[in-house]
Amino acid sequence: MGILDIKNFSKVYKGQKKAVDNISLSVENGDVFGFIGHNGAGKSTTIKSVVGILDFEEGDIYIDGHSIKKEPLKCKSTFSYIPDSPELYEHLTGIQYLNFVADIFGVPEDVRVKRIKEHSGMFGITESLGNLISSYSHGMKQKLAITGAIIHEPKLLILDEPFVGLDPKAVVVLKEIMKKMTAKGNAIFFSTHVLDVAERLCNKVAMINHGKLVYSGTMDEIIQNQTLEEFFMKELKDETFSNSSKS
Amino acid sequence: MRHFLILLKVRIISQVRLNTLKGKASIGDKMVIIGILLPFVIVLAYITGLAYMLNEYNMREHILAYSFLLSTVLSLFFAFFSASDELFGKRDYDTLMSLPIKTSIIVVSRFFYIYFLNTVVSLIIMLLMGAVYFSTGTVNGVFWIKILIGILTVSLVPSIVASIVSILVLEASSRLKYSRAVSSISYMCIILFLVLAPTLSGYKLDPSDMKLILTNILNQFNQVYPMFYLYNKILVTGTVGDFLIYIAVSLVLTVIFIIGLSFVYKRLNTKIRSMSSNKKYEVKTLKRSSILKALYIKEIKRLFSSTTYIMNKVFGMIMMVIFTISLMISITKVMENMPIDNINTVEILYGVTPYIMSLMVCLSNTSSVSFSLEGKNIWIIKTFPLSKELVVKSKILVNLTVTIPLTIINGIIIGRVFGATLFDSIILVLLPCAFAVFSAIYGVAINLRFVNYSWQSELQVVKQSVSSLLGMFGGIILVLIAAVPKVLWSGSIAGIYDVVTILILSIVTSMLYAKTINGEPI
Repeated sequence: MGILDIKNFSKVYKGQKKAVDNISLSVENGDVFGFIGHNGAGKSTTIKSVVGILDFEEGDIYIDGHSIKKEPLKCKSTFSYIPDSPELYEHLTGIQYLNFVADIFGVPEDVRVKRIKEHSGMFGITESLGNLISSYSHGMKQKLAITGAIIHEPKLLILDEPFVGLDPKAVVVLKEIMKKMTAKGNAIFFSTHVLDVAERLCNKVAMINHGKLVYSGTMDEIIQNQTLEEFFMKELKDETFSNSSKS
Repeated sequence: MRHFLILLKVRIISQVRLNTLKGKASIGDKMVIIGILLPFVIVLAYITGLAYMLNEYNMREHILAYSFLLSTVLSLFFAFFSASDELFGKRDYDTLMSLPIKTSIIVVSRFFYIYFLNTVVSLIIMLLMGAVYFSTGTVNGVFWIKILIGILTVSLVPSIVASIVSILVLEASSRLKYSRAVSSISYMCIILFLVLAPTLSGYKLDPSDMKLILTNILNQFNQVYPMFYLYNKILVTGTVGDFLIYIAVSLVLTVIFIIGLSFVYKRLNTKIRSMSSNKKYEVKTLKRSSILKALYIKEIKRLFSSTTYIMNKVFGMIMMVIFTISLMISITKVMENMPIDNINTVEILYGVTPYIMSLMVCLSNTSSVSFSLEGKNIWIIKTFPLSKELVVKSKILVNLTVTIPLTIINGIIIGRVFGATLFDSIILVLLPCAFAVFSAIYGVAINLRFVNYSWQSELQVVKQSVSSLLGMFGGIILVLIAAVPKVLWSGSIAGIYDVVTILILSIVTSMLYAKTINGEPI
């Protein structure tokens, strides 16, 4: 069993067709797992269901062997989640937010100070931590959200479009953090549109189109004689053809 | 004009949620309607009663003046609570300022909405009191013109005054790091001052002569508020010149305000939205807290970060302080002047004071909007390893922080003012505290049932949401139901009744708490 197992998961929004249709995938310890697909393909719906924001009826999602439906608190102690547009408590200062997250996850005082110094320093936001979050730019909020998310060294880091809105230096820092985490045996599961980043970073990838999983496997299998982008376009084309021939 | 109408249309669509309304009204929509109608009916009954009372005291000629006075006070009150959010708290500011629309049009659309809401209130008050005036004697044709002009103009100046006060408070507090907290406290001080000023100034009214009181109020208002003086002149003489002067003054003041605000609107918004920043922060030691304490700190900072939130939800406790101070100043005087056969009135007041305090406690229901106010931040609560019970507890504790300490202090002071026995002093504290706990838990339950995370402005959640209305009026109705037998039964059984009320309320509260934390996940 992996650190994240999605089994026959489907999600239907009220009065609409299936946003996600019977997908299954597994993320192992040490994986950097890329979840790719076009806008509206079902990536965010899947991720929001994985982290416990959205309720779902069909299938189940297991994190470190615990069902998000039945044991949500055990699951949530295992992972950290960063949404595509991190809305943080604007009435708190950056440091108050980080201390809040550390309190929720029970991080010891000396450890939290060490980790905050290290990661906020890497992102270059240490000097702004005393300011209210409402004064932060989008990128700074994202950097703060990442610093908060890794303060308890989660076994699984789940990110929705993490590279959107980050400056080039922060992208490098985030990639570095991801590599460090996986080197320790932790796993990363993230959605992205940026295919060349996924190609260079991920060892596994899953592709979703119109709510259906069209591919799940290792990156090595894909890029033997093509780029991820070429593979992505080919899969989308095939899927479009099969859909149009069905109709 | 075209831009103004477009902005107004968008404002009404988002306010009334036209795009999300279904053909059939949901339970929530029905509750909103009931929640709005209920206090409305009470206010209407009060206004009609006042108009008939004026007629009874041979003061029929003052009915319209009183309708103007009431409309002015209510407009000022409503505008005071909504102006800062309406003018400076909207999320669409960036979008609007980037569009090819004149700043003055944006200002007019913002101000017009405040004016529009107050005019609706004025319309009802003036029409209702006008109807009593109409039905109790003869009227001439000018009467309808007087009413129409009154309705259309009465709320202009109060809305301007409230807006200017809001601007001054925001402008002054924007220099500080915790500007919202400072502006919230400033607002509370202004309200306390405005309400207590007549009492503290030594102005005394003899309650035995109601006609004199009503006349004195009119005279006072005539002296301090020029617009009332001008409107009163229309009512008394009704010359064309009086009409023109009154209308011209109202319109000129409005135009000056709009032009003035348009000039500084962008600068003020920039200032209010710019945060004080310190670029020298260094990570030193950090104090570890329990999860509940961490949630509580976050929650209490949320309360003090929003002027709209704190002003609307702590208002009941401000009223309690005003009530206590008024009692301290007036009760001895009232008791001295009261005829022997009216001593019973003071006894009833003594008996129902815990219930009056409970009413004010229920007005201060922060928890009924606490989940909705999470807004887009709700992902944090949903994805962190937090039990529902802890989150609920933190929101209840913040509500109790607002209500319990002030209730205890006020209860003790009121006990001393009345010279209450030990038993009655305990009831004076315990009964409102029991209602405070009930109200906080009930507020959370209601908010979880009617939660709305996708709001455009805090005002929408704090003042106009289903959970806000139900959270407040649910508690108030319960207090009123509990108070009725107390008013009817005086004597030795009254103390036992209070104890039984506390016990029943505690049982209901415990059951509601258990049901709330065991219900559906957040």
